[in-house]
Amino acid sequence: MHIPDGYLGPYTCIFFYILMIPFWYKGVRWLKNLHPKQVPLLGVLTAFSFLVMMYNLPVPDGTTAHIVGGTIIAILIGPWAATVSISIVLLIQALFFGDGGITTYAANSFNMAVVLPFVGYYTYRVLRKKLSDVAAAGIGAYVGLVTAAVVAGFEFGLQPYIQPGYCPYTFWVSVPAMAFAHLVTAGPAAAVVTATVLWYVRKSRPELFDMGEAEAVRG
Amino acid sequence: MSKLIDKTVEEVVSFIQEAVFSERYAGKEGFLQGLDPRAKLAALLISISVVVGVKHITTLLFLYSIPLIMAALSKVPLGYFVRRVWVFVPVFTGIIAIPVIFNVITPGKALFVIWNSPYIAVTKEGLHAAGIFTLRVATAVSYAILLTITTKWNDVMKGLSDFKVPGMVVTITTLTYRYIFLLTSILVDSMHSRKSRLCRKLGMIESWKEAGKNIGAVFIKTQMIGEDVYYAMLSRGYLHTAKSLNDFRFRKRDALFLALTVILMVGVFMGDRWFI
Repeated sequence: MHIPDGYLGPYTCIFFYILMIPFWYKGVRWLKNLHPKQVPLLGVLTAFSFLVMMYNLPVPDGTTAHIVGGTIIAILIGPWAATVSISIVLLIQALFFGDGGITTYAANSFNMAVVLPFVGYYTYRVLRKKLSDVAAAGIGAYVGLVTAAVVAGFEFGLQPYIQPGYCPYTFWVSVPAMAFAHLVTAGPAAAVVTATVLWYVRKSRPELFDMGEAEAVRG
Repeated sequence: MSKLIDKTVEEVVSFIQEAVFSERYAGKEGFLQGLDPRAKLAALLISISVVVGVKHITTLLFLYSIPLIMAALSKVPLGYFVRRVWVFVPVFTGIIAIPVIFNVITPGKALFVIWNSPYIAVTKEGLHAAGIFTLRVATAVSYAILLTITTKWNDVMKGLSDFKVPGMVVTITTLTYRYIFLLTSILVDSMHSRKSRLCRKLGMIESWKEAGKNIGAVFIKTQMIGEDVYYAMLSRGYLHTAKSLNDFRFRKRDALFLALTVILMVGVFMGDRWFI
């Protein structure tokens, strides 16, 4: 889902940088309210977010897929923690590994650090009233990932109408391509992995599971 | 034995190798290595913005030649540099660009007819569109990778604080970078210990569940490490604000490098818009 430099034109990139300003502003404000003890913890947890993206999950087409882990962090620590952590991970990936892009950094952050954790987290919160925590987390991760992929597909698909010379495919190709790949491959994997993580943490260290709850109450 | 375990370990090893190789060239005494990381970061942002903004293939070819010259001046082996860029580009962009060369996606003057009924041909316009798209991505990746392999991670982090990135974000980013390596070692150990207990191949859903349990266990360990790191920082005099030991000095040659980059990139951009 990482969009490299050159896929989106300058106007689209500028638009996403402007769009991300309030989210990053709110994320930094959230950071300032943290207890000093939690700052190193968030640093290590951001390294954990980086690590989650390294797991190679076998998928039905015979290849392997990666998950972003945004919903896991949003549920366990809080959605703003996910926004901050994943934005930092994307920055490290763009600056040091050429994974993702620098001009597309804001668009990638919008998809993976805002849409994915917030959609995943609020889907989880709504479903938790009717289903078990574990099932709600799995469905939340699935919905979050597929929504973020569809949003990325829209960004690709809009590009030929705004400026040619970048991503060449319109909505009719880009949205189904992104949606299908995530609906049947990475989506189910993200759902099972997220549900298992939540089940495991709740069983082994239930007090850690409540961190996200405390965060939600605190706002 | 299991794709989850083998491929994940492979990915971690290649990540560590990449990081170590990058640091190897960053320590050499070359042209870019001798510049202030802030000047390099600013030059990178300006250059990539111009790469994304230009419209003509000739301009992109010119822009692509700049990182190649810079790499040679910075004692980065050209073969290694070009390979690193083009290994990444064909996998994602090359495959995506292939359908664009055909008349079905890009109608135009047929250069090579593949099939008559239904009519499928490679078009001149399609080749141009695919070429410009692939070259743009390769050029942008070249600039980004050049910064990575000629600058130490810590220096880039320190440089970030001068770009109005909040101090708290720089502290967390620095901690993240350090702990990625510790956590990758925990990940590899846990994958190997799981592998040593496996007596058969894991199925797909089983692999997902195993990954979930492993991520859960790493999360719990991460929590414990986070607390230890805080106390370790406190014992070393941490006063809840991190001070960057930034001893960079912006010298004349850094200013000259940045000024030349700005002049060159503005010139290239204007030339692309009005003269080609």
